[in-house]
Amino acid sequence: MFLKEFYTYRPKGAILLVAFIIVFVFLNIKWGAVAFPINVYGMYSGKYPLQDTQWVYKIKTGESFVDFTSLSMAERDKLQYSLDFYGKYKSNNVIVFNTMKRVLSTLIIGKLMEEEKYTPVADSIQYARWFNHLLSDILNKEIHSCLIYTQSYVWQMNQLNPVATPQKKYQFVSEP
Amino acid sequence: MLSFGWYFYYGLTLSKVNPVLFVNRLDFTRNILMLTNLQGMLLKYFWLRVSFDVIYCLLPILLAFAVLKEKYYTKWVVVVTILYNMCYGIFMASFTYISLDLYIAWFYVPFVFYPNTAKGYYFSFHSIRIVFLLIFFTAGIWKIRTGAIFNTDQMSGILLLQHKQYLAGNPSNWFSQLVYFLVQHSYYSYVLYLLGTIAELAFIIGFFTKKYDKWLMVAFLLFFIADYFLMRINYSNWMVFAGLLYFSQLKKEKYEI
Repeated sequence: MFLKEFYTYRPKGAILLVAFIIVFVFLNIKWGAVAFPINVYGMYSGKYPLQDTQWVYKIKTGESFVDFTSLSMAERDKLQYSLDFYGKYKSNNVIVFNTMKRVLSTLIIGKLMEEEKYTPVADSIQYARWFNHLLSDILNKEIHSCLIYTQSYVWQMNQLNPVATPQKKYQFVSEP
Repeated sequence: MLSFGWYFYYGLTLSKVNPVLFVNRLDFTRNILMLTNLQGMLLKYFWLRVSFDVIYCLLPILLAFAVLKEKYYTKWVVVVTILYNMCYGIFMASFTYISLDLYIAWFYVPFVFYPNTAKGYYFSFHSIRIVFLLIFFTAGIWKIRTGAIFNTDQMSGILLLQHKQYLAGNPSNWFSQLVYFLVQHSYYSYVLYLLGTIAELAFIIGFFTKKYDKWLMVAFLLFFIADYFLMRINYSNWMVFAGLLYFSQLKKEKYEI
């Protein structure tokens, strides 16, 4: 047996491997915070109901909307997730900071955690410049202003149908 | 290098992303690493982001050189590569949409080269192989635990979520037709999900025997191909894991065991 042979050859190594497996299994059972490289490798294990409302971004530059279908998978993801991140990063970072600080406060580490390092806020002008630059790179043309809408879709009658009217979410304007 | 090339081409490196914000996660390692405020410095200094990319790209080359030439400093290169790749993955996953999971291969695999004896190499190789098997096997277990495997609409829901931005554009090409077909015919897509889960669970075999490693490797490669073409997720960073299954059957005698 591999572990027995390993133990005979190098006991410390074998114990380390077994300890790793135990922690890996424990953190997976615990189902909460993780500690890289020990992670929950779910690979789409969550539930994804077909009936869920899907929110889709529509990006307007000038008079036209960006055609997401003409973009590569990486470009599409970059636009979509950048907007997702922008929408949630502030509240997410505050929640994570408070949780981790509380958990780690039993150790010295918690006391060393400074809020400003964990929850910096991007300047909205800076973000607008960054996003317009990203968009310019992807569309291969200069963009200094864009409007972001979100449109809800639902799966009905065997197809993806838009519901309600698109809602304006952000306007990014940057200097030329 | 090929994998890094793909990320570089699509502007998914620290110096090309030029991030202005980051997203934190409930991860002890990440939060402890953030005590250094490297995230703040990476946001601030372009030269630091470039340096991070250059070192990330050069370390595997240095590692390969040290291993092949049996240099006395190989152990140090291994340790530095492991720690550095961990930092790089953590920050990339904080600044971009790329999941930290995609960086684990370049964290684990260098461990294989840590020992400087044939025997030690044998044991480190198989230890990392076990970790890899564990990752895949637990992915299958998770699908049972959450009940996802019992939901016949599961894969349709995943495809819809993954490609909503694309499908909403209403294209009429073969890919959108394929995705639409699979979403509309839940049973076909569910069979794909079920087969994927069975393949993940089958990795338990690897804990007991190496005899079927080639088959597990085929399952792993199919997972990689399906993820790239159907899910549009690039798992190329994980390709190095395939070597753990490909070379696992080398005779023990070769390692003086």
